[in-house]
Amino acid sequence: MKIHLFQQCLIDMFYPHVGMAGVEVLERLGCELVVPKKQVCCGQMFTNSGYNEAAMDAIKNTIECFENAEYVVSMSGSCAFAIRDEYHHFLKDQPEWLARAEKLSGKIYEFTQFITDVLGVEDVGARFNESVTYHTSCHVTRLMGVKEPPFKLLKNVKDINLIELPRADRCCGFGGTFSVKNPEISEVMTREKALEIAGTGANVISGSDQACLMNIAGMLDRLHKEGEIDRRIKVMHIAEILNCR
Amino acid sequence: MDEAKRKQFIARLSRALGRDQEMCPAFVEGFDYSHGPQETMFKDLNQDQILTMFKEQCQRVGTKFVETTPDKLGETILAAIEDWGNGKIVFPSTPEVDEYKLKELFEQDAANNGGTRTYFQWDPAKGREECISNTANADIGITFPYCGIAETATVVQASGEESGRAISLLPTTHIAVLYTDTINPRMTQTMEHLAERYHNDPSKFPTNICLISGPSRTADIELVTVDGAHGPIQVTYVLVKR
Amino acid sequence: MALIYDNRPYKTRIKECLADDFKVAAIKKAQDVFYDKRNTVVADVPEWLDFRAEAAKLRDHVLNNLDYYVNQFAENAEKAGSKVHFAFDDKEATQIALDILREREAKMIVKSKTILTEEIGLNEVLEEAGIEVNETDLAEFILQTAVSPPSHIVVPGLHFERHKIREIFAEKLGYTGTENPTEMTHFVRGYVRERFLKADVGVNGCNFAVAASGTCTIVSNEGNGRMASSIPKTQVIFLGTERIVPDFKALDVMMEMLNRSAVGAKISNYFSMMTGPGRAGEADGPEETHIIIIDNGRSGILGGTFQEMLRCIRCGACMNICPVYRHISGHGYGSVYPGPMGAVLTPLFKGYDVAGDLPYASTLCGACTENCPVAIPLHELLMEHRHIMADIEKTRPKAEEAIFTAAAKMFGNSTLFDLGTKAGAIGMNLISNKEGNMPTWTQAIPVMNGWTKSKEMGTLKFKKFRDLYAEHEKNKKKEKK
Repeated sequence: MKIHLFQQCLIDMFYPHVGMAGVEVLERLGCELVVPKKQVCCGQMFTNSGYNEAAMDAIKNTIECFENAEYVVSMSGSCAFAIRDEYHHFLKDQPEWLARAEKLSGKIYEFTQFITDVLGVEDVGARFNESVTYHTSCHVTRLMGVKEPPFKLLKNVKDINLIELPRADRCCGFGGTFSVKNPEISEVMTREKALEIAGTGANVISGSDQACLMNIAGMLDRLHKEGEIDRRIKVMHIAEILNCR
Repeated sequence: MDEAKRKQFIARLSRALGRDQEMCPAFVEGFDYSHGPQETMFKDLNQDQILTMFKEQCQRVGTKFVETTPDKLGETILAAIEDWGNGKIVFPSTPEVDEYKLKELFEQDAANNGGTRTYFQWDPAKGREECISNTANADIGITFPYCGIAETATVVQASGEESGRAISLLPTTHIAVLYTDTINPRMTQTMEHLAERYHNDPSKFPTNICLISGPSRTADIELVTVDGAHGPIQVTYVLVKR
Repeated sequence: MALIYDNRPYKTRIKECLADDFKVAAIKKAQDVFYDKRNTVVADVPEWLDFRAEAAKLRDHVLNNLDYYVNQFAENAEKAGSKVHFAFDDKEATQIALDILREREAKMIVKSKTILTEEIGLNEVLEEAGIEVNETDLAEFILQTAVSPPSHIVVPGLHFERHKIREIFAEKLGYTGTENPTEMTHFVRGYVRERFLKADVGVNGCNFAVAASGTCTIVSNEGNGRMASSIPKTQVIFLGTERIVPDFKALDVMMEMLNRSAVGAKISNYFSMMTGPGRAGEADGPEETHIIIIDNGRSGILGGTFQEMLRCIRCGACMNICPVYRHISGHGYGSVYPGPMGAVLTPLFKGYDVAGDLPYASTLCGACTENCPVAIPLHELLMEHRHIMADIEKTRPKAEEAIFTAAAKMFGNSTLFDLGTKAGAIGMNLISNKEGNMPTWTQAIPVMNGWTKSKEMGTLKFKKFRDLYAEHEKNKKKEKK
């Protein structure tokens, strides 16, 4: 099966190994990957701040990169949500682009959703001997409605000790530019999330949205450094866990 | 109503809605409720099951109830009064009071109980001040709601000349006497009744109808539930199976 | 109280709220309690989402025909014997109320809980005219006694702990009892009861007004709404224009949504339906009922981008779930309408120059939207506000605009992105500490410090994903050969 990979700019810039883990998992499942070189960003960080006009370059560039694909798989749920469910709103006054966006909207999937719902695979043959808890990011879980897929996949990972995260659906406090516009509030939100994670006793926190994970990692590391959390909790994108053998 | 002001006010809304020539329509197609889930919920329950649902909800929210039959109503009410520690009792002038000869029962009781229970009958002829002040310092108020709702253990209390709003509100304890065959499964049926009742004769529609579900309650201090914020601190439903 | 009761800068309010440990803990606890209770009673109704869709449709039906229904309500309310008044704004509304009270030489009034009267600043106007105003809802009573603004729309006094309440009651009301909530509640019961019996006028809000019969309704647990509408001889009801339903059947749907969403209960202890004043021959109930229908900016929202906001039934479900409200409480918003609904509504009423910060007090996590019983797309409306400020009214700070515009160019073009991130990687790696994170001194750099003050931040990588993938592709081709 031929798929186009939407890598997410954040993974591209800061977490290239996460992207590679996704590539390896998908290839192992028999996917033939296309990674358009011109892709950059879905534009969400601009539209979430209200700069819809400025976001047009990013939005249109994304459409051009992916509109002719058969399937698009996004390594980030948040971007998949923006492309699938928000583009049509921003392009409502541009009929030609609107039509192109709508064509793309039906073809994009979040990484875990693609594996379970399109490939029909729930056991990717991974083995991971660690205690893991999982943060269900808002955009992918609540807004995009992808609730079951990551858990279906994790349950089938051999040797894993999956621990439920209390209030997993509560926002981690990232919110894109919220975290820099409202750092005081973001800080206390993320701190609460980090302590909730530490309280599970897990050594690994996973998720399928690298932006939330970056935010959580920043707080976990700081709280560990300051001694408020007793251990170093590893932050891993679900693709990294699924790529462990 | 200031007619000119009304026109101006409505016109502003019509304008915002982009109405043709800013005119308020003379007719609007009503809302179609037939697709709502409320129409079919609990539809297959029989009256016994409905009563069970009512009682279970009472237990869940901690509302006291006693069951009785018409022939034992008088003594059941007296027992309920005694259960809450007696005192001054207000009762209405509704048809049930005549039907079950409650006034006579209460008069007889007052003559024999040596002052543990005194009675006041709500009667507009006695005047507003007397009715309200006697009810305000009463311990127990007795009313006859006109129907019940099982899902929420609610009694539907209509007020009027014969039974004032204050009786189920000002005394410390409220005793509501409810016929079990008037209990509906949901608020849906109650609202249908009310719509019909209003439609049949708006001039006789009760000026005040209150859905009462247990005692007056608050949780405004640290979310601690306290009964008896302003109205009754305790409630008993007397369920009459006729 | 005016709609906006705290005019200090947004950041000042936020910092003060975050520093108040008791308040933060109280709101967190309340949220958790409401969250669990709400989920339990909603789980009882498998048809919940159908109800929600029905309720939203019903609200839309009313809003799309609001002129018709307001008119019908007014006619039927008058038929039932009420006197209907119309007010375009807060000043007109308070003046109408003041005229009614003066004509009756009212000296003392009792009020049940109504946010609308806080929106229009009724108490201040009446008190200035020498009329004694008594809030009777326990929380409102505490706030009035303490002179403090509400922190929540349903349970507005949560920011006071019992110890503090006892202290306030002792100092201002001569209370001598303990700090036991039951004892204090029953003290207020007695204190307020006297006033209920003596008041000249009772003031009520209205949760839903029934157009078909001219009926006003009040949802309450304490029974103070019943008191204010049963004992005083004159009743004044304040009604927001949008709070209309077509008929009695609609009340069934709306009550289903309101009670479960607001406090996680199947029903409120009392739901009063008042159709006109008491008739001649009734020994209690008001002898006259006035209904003041208030626009105060609502017609400006009707028919526009934000019309969905007028569906709101003031249940508070959005703030009971909001992770931002959780930490800053109602006081962070400085408006009588806090939380996500307040962040949408307050700028619509007061404009961006005074309330423009509020739409940014959200991570757009969508929990509010999901929890809203009338399906208001709250987080989308917050984005719409941001869009209007950034793109249409262009009221955002010029520096912010410049950063976003420049960044958007870079993130919309792979060549520029490549150049920019390469330069960034060099810079960040030059200054990074031994763990590969940004060093402490970067907390001095604006924007950057928002992050690095409380969280670690890694560096941009020299080899991006696109570079690794290109190598991977090359290797694969080699393997094939």
